[in-house]
Amino acid sequence: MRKIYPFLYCFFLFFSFCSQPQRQPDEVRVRLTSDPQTLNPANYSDPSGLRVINLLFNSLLGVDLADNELKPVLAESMPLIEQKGATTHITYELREAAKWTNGSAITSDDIAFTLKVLKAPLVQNEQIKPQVAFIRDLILDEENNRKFTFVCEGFTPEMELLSGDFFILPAYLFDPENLLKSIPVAAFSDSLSKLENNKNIKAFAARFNTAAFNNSGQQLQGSAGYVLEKWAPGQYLTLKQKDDWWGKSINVPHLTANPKRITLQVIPENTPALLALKNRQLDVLEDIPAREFDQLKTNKALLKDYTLFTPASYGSVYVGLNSRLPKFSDKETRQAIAHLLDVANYIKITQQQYATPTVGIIPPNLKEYYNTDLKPYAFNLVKAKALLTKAGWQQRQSGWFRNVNGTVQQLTIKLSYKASNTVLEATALIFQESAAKLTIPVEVEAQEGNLFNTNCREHNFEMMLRTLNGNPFAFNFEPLLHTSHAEKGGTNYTGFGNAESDALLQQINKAGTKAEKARLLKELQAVMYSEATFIPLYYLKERLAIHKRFGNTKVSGLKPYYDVSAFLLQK
Amino acid sequence: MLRYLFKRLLLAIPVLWVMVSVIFILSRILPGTFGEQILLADEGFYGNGAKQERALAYQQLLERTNQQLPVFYVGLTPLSESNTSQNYSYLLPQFTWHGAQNQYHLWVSALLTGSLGESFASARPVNAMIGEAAANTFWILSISMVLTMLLALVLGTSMVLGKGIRLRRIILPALIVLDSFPFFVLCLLMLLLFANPDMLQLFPAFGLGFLAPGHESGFLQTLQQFPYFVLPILCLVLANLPYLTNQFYTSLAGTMQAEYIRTAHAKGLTPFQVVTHHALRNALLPVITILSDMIPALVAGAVVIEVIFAIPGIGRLLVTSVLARDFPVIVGIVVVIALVKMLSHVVADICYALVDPRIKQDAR
Repeated sequence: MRKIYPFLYCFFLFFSFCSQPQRQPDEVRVRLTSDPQTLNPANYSDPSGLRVINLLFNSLLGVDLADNELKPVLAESMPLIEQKGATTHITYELREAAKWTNGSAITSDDIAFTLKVLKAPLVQNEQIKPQVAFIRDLILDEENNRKFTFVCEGFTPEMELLSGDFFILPAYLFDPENLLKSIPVAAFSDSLSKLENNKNIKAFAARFNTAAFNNSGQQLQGSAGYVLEKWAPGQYLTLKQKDDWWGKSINVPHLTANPKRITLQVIPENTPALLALKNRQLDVLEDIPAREFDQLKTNKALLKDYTLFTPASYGSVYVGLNSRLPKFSDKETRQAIAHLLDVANYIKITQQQYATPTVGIIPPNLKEYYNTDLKPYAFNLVKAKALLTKAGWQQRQSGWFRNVNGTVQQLTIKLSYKASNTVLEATALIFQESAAKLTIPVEVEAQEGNLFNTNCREHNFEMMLRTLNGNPFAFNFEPLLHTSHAEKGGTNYTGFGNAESDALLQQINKAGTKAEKARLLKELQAVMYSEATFIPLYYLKERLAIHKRFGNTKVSGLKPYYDVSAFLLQK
Repeated sequence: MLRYLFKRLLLAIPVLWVMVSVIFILSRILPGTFGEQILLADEGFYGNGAKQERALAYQQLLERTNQQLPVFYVGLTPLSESNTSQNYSYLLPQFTWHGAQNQYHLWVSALLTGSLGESFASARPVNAMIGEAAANTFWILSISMVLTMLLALVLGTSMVLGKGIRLRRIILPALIVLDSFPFFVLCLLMLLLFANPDMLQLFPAFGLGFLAPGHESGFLQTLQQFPYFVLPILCLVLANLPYLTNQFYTSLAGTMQAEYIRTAHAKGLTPFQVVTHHALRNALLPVITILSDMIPALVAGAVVIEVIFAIPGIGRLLVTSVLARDFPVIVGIVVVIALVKMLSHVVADICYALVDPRIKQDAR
């Protein structure tokens, strides 16, 4: 009998684990795929950090995920933009109700302080600094301490967005000794070498660069509706709703802090994240792999508690051909390769149909800008063969050959992509098979992320598969497609473009009306389609699940695909 | 014996130094630097700052983190930059002397003061980050190692005892099957079997649970976190059990053929007494070597375990740091692992001496 006791103890201990931890109904628990590197609002770089900082700090403008529109957050209204010669003046007025955690009002001085922190030398601000470099000076309104004007260099269409898209920092908390107050904003726009020896900046940087500004709830108190309650590194972060947040006193639907507590749980792998969802330990799960998402659709028990969403996202997959290489320098060859891309099959196999084919860089859901006159390239061996012949390639038993600068060259393709991306890997393998049908040898090469980026920048690739994230706010494609960005180190990796396309890109940026912009964007899509250097394949549909006890979830195609601060408990 | 151990420790220091230095230099030669994404901010529907501004910010970051400095005292001139048109001098490497202003020198200077530097990403001291992460890894690895050892000992001993042949027919094939599972797949299988409402929902699927502020330490925390450790430990035990059991069994079976074992049987001892009193000590010697060599393999296992079960530990910290090119953290972790490895060899030496007194004599 005595021998049975240890077994009984083990048995009860074993089954005591069966219960899952109890949940509070007014707590929203979401997943982070990685621990934030830092919560420093002046120097964040990773998406996890940005998601948390978004709940702690406000910016002047923000995106309302209910309609994907840019709306005023700390600003009273959208800014007034005036072009004055070589400069652009962007004038904002802050909301009267906007307050810091200690109850003091947010004023133009806080905006000036924020700009100084983001521009200062010696301070950890390298990630955000380039974003505000176009703001050269700040003019404060003498009569109204909530009104100010950014003096900006030149004009680009994204200026409105960028001028309102940085977190405003509390001067009273971050610089209690007013070390930066005496230095004007304009001084930070000139050569910074003089300021590097400034005692006040040195003292401020020494304090600001400490870990407290990266992870301490005491220090990271912004104007948004939450404070950092706890950060268990590598595990979770909990954010607590502020008791008397200013946003509650004004009736603005996109300014919300509804859940009492938000927990962001770090779960790097998809399998435990899916199990956490099935165990009701997560309220939201996004980026669900397509196959698993289809399985969830048939899980009746889960569907009782969760709603599944598939919003059209702004993320796409594209193929880039290095047009600088002699074998890809003519558009007939590139078009032939485009006809070997079996997009329908890619979508079926890698995305389980959760994607939409596209003719160009504009997402198909942006109907006013999308060129419906064009038809996406379809897999067509006959057309591909004809185009190769037209380009001067001759088919022999072992493949396609052409005389390039006096030497006979075979048409071979080296296709590279970022390693560990299974979607791109499958796409590359399908392409390899498709090309083999036309006796074109394709070498598939998965490259480590940093190496892949370096190779793209150095033009050290033949054909590549890559993802691209877009948005519905700005369409300045110059960095991606203008020839001025096509030198080594630039972001026009494929070498797309000529004088005409450059002019078109500049016209798009200067377009005065929506109709004109739409016409020019459609023209750009037609040019890109014909050139077939930068070939967008499809736009993804996001796949996410949200617990049914919450309403007002504001599901959107823009990251992070829902607004957790808006979640309301359903009655 | 103490003198011998001290000598071993002294000899281990240069080995450790060379190992860590090589890792330091290799990690810095990897393609990509920390903060490189600043240069990639144009990859979207608009530019996030002008190109030259981004280049300036990137330069500032490199200077702040000393990444712009040469890696080592001596550098090799790239072939593309050396003068190759005139003669065949490119056949010999061209060295450049960088002086003390290099990354290695600065890192070593800090290390001699006991500092592993600061994380590029979070500005936190690497010592503190490793200290935080090491606790979970230490418990998972220690408990799994002890359990694996005990189980392997029991299984190995059972297979050489009286009814061992029958047991062997079941256990050995089962262990081969278990060994054939890739570790990653084994972990996922355990999750899907024991943390899944569609199968058996016995254990939590991720993390270490939630603790209300103010209840972060003490016995209750350990008790609350215990269920979260069960599956990871079980996975590590199952992954290492086949090899260790096989080693125990082979070693014991070999020892059982010795003359003195026959004498022990002739003295009228029971088979169990023969194994425990006479065979086991000698059979343990090769196993001690294996155990001391297991540490790096266990750390590699911890990487997979901690990523899949979302447990913060050294393994996950290493993965995150490698992906972010957070060099001080990468090298800091390597230093710690190398130190543990060195200590495990010293512990193995002590164990040898305990198991076989002849070694103690030789050491004198």
